Amino acid sequence: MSYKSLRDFLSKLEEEKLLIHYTDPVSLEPDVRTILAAGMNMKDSPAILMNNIDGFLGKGRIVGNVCGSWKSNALMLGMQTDATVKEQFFRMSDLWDKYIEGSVTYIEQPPCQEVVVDENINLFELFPLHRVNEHDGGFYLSKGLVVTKDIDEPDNLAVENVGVYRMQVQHPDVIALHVMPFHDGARHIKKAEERGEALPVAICIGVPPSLATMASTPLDYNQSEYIFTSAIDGEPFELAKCIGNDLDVPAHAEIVIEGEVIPGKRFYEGPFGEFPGSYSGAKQVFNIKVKRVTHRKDPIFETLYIGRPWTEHDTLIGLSTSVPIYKQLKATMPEVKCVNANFQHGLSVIVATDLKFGGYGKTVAMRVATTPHGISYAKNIIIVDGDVDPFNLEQVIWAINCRVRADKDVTVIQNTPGFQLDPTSNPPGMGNKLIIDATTPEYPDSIRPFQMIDLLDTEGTMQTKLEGMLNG
Amino acid sequence: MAEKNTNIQCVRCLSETAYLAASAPDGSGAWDLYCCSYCNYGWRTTEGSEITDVTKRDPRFSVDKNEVESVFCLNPIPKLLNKE
Repeated sequence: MSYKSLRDFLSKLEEEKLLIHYTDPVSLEPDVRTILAAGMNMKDSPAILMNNIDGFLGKGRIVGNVCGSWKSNALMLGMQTDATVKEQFFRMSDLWDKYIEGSVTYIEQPPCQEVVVDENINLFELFPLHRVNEHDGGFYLSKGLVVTKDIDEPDNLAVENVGVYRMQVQHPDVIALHVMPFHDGARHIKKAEERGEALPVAICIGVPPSLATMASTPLDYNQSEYIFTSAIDGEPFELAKCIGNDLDVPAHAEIVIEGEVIPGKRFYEGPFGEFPGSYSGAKQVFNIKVKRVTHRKDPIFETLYIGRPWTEHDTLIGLSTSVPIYKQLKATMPEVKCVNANFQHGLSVIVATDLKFGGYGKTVAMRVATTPHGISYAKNIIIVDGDVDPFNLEQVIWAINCRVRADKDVTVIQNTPGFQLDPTSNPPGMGNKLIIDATTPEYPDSIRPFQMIDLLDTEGTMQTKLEGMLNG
Repeated sequence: MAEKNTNIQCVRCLSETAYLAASAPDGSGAWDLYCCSYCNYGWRTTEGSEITDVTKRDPRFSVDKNEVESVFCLNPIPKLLNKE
């Protein structure tokens, strides 16, 4: 099943009892963040739709935690809500291979342009912006998708980029854009800036969950987030052209903000509470001058609480971090069985692999450290045997406890690239790689002989029978 | 849209470069929102005194005026390519 719009997905969440309608009065600060953080602490972390917002009565709605739970994520992937995280991992991996089957279609008079605002634009009065964490430098769009094109290839959909970047609304029609230099969006801006040109940009808020997931995924430069989304949905993805530029945007987005990146200037932004659970410092970043806003009637402003884990951010980017690393490893190391990089955007990566020879586990770890994402993010790399489930942390700890010889299997590679938002990265952007090889030593390496106890019910037949008895 | 007045002191950097940027759109007068043109901070009048009151703000999140221009640049400004 696919969801053309955020609204379609919210209907499904409601049907599955994964949506709360919060009708009590809500202050923009601190209620929104408190409500969303509390929701994430609930079993199944439901989405929460708020419609009684201070200063926006009859004019605004906020939704958050839309992709907050693994049950929601399973629905996004077209699975039943009881699908395990590991099953969702392999579902996403299979869909990855269907990229070639994806396609897009364009529709006229799209819902995202039902209302057009092109003068006296004041984002603070149009939408219920709020301070995500108490000491943020202002009011952030925490779940906005930024669309840009390569100015040399304006008709090439594959290189049109859709990325989730942090954005601070600094003035009524000015937005600061924080995009890492290695992200595709930054490459587009740099190319235009070198020619003194203002790059058109569109910011989309309130999109189908499959697109939000793909926009959070580190794809190759010439892979389209829209095509990938179509592969997940199993049908052409519906797009529309912006009114004032040539960018493609999701036709059913709740809100589209059209603008241009101001070339040759930088602006003070931050701090912002980030996914490591700490505040980032302030920086000089790009600014976007807003030219036009379009939106659906009675738009839903989608937001995302980000802070100390577990938050929607962790679920949203968990598998979209794990699967690309798995694919990149698998391409040259077919012994690799599974990857769990779900924690803090892959600052820790757990890989299950069969072994070829002594030291192979360590070799896999070094390959993780040289994948595009692993270069800066993966600082703790744990390798386990192929019959250990990397999504089962009890099994992972067992492997560390019963396989690791500290003098041979623990390695620290010093002074490597690090991730600047990680508070231990010092100076920011530098770090160390910790490798823990928790695999069983293979010839010519060795360990004193021991006999393993067989696993029981490996097909899960008895477990299924017992669950049937329990559920009547 | 709220009327712009740029002589208000910013609660973060203390410059007198803040202005009234927005008011509650439902006309209730529930809140006003201010922005600083210098450090780009924003605050709403309904936020707690630890945000809106200069004397009660956490000093770890204050901003020195000199820092605004000298802070780390995430994306350095590239040189312009020759028009040729």
